[in-house]
Amino acid sequence: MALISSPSRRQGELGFATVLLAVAGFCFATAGDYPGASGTYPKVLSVLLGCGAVLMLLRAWRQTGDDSRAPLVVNLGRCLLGFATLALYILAIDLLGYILPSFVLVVSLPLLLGYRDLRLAFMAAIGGLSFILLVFAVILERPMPADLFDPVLEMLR
Amino acid sequence: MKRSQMLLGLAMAVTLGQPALAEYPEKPIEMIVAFAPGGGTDVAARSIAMFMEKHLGNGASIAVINKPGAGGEIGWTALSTAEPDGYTIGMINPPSFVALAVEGKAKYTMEDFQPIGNIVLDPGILVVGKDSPYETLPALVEASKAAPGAIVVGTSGAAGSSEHIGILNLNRSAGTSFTPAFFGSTAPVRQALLGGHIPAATMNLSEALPLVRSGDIRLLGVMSPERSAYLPDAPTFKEQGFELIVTASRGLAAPAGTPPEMVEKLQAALKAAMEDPEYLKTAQEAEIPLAYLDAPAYRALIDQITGELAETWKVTPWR
Amino acid sequence: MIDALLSALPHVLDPANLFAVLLGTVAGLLVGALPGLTVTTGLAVLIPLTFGMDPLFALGMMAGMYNGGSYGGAIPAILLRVPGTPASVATLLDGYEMTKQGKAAYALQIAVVSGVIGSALSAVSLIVFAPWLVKVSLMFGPAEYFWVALLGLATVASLLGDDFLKGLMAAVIGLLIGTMGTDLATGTERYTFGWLEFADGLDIVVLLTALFAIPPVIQMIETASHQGMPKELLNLRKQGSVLREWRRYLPVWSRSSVIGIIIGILPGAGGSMSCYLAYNDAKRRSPNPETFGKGNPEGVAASECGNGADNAASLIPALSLGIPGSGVAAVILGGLLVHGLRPGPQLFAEHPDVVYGFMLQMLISAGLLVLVGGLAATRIFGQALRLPHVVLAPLILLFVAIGVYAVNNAMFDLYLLLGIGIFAYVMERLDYPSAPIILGVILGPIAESQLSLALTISGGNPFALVSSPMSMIVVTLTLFILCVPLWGMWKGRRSAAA
Repeated sequence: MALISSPSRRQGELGFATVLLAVAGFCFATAGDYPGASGTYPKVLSVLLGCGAVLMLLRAWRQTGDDSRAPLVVNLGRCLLGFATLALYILAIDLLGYILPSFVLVVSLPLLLGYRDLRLAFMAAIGGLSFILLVFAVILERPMPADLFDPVLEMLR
Repeated sequence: MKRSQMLLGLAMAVTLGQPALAEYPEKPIEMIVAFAPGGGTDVAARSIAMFMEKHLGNGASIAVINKPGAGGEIGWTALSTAEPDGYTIGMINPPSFVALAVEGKAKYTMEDFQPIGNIVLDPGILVVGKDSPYETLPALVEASKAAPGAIVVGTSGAAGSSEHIGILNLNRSAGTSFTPAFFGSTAPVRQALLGGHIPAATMNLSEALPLVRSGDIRLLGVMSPERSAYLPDAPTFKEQGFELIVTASRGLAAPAGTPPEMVEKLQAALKAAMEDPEYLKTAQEAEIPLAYLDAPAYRALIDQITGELAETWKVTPWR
Repeated sequence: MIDALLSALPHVLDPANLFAVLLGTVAGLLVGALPGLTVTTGLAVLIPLTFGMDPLFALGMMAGMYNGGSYGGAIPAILLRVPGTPASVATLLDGYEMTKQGKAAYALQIAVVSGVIGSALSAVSLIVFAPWLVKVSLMFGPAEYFWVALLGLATVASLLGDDFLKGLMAAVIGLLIGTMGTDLATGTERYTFGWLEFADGLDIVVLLTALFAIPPVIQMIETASHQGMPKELLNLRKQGSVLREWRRYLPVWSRSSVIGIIIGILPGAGGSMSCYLAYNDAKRRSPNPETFGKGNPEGVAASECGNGADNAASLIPALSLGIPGSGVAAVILGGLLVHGLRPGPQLFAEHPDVVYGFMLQMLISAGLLVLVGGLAATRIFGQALRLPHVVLAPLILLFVAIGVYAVNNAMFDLYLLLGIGIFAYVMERLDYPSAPIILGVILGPIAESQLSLALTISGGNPFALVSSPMSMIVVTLTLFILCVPLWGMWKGRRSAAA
């Protein structure tokens, strides 16, 4: 986990302000294509955002001290694991539907984080999923993502 | 209800051996609604779906699927590309449904759809406040000619809505220069008219009935060929000498290529649902301007709207 | 009116109709508490089922759902920092902080009591003052709305947090996000990159969930705590009773209710604005404004009371003019139509027993909320907090994912959730506040479109914006909200320098 270390807070501030500055520039340039007042308003906003980002850059640049050197992310490894899990989960919903990925997520994520009470995770997964299916699919008849278990769901409706 | 559906499902499973078509529908039909739950189109869709289930028989179930966004374009595009197997149908709302195709913005054309039938025809109307100096439509038209651009007409739609196109057509044919103001939905335009913030407004007839009857707003003209049964005293544009017909339709369509037998079955179910006494009673109490058209007649109406819009687009593009 | 109320009372108290109110309240709580489900969705599914039933049975369910749903959003906001509705953002600011301090039960209690007080006062105002209030609502045209939106935006001052610059930048980001989608006035599509999904701008529920729910979930995964919240921190009895401390909350409740009712009668202004205004007002009036956003119960009280007060009031223009003040009111109008009740000036004369019966049901459902919403909901929903964080985190993701999908039934929104979630996490780490973004996204488009409408109507004359007395009142209020904190700061600096 310690192979990659988190950027410092100061680096974070500088990086984020740069991104915002770029976004502001992009929004300003794109707004040039919009006619009349449709373009003026976003242009003004882009300029404001750009100015704010420049001020932030200056402020972060001059900033020193312990606070600015503190790491931005407490545990970068687990943070990345979190986002990777979320990304995988969403991709899996797209491919396999909601039910199976959801079940796997609730059971496996605690395991990955070193939690060994499988029984509780299992029960939480079953409980949460059946509640969601009951409310969304059965009572309110909301459509669900195309699912492996679609035939089973149809029986429930 | 759930239990009976499950039993019916079982019964269906037992008889699966027979020719598929006789059993149609053998699984839930999806009805795509291009607007969010709770809107006028959604409520209309859910009501008609309930009665169509009853008349389709065979334990049919119709699930309303909301695909809102981009003024209906997302839902209608989804309908146009759906599998034409009879299990996906959708609500369409000409003329805005047609306008998107005419201006070339949408990825679908009218050829991508197979109309099933029309449910509602709601004519547009032009109204003024009760204290307005304009008593009649000709008076308002004269005033607009006298002061070009000065008279603002609030519309409940956005740029490119059927009401906006109606105003453009009126400006062109009658030589007026009404300035459209886009309020985006019906509630704010009604409020602005009642509060005297705008001199005139367009909306749909069904939305204005109680206010017209109570005298809070004055109806100058109905944009339909004939007078409405709900307001027989209100004159049409046509009888006052202005050729303007704007009618908002709500109807059902399937993707093109849906087997004709299934379309026929759906059309029959729609007709039976709209003749169901319970449905009729509810619709009449809510004063919904029902107008059933069968598939060929609905196709003809859509073609006619398409022709007119294409003409307008050439002369006065609305976007 | 008294006669009508008395004749409606027996129908309202009919056991079947009372049960309908109860059922609606519970269902409302549920849909309000689940992200992605809204009262509008619940009602849309419900209305066709009420065909052929007694009107008051159907209306009772709607009344219950409206009040239940508006409180329901506060539950996940306070407990899990997942705001179900834009209105619960202001509740979340202090409510979630209270949960972190182990005062979750107390926070929920404040939320429900304040919400009920707001809804009840609002229902009373609907019964008593409807004819007068409706006249006030008609005084608002595009010019006045423009100023109301600016008034709402001015409350950003109370949401900025400790770092002024970052707060303002967040607000500008919100305004910029608000420009996405089709511009009503010209039909121009802005920042849609050719994606149909962006044609209506970013969906507010997707944005809310990504901004508020994703960062804490990631943080839970980071800390990977194997423990949940200890049981004694969830015990309601040990945390005091809100009603016994009524003296402390009375000023907040009364002022927030008035704010909620006034915003409620303005069609299109929407419930979330009354929460922000009420929150801003409570913070401004408080002797220690710096405690707001750090777990001050008065913040929860103000926001929820303003939210509740919005409900019945938004039905005033709906019932008397057929102009719905909110999305929910619009659906309720649809429900009335189905039962042959055409809203409009004649409704009160033609069907007094149904109209006044419905108003009484709004009042009753507010009362029922205390019973179902308070104790029961806390006991049930509070259990989630006892789960170890490593289990709770994926479980929240389950609810967030299905909720976000349900908004538009589109996978697109889930991918959007991931993208905005990463952005939100970085922002949170750098102490950029999220609430100003939401404020900007909600109010920016209103301000822009109303300004353009007002200018279209006046033929481009900017003086028309301040020509009506109502405009001037709202402008004065806006300046007041903006200038008072500045003046206070200036005075503070002078006394510090001296």
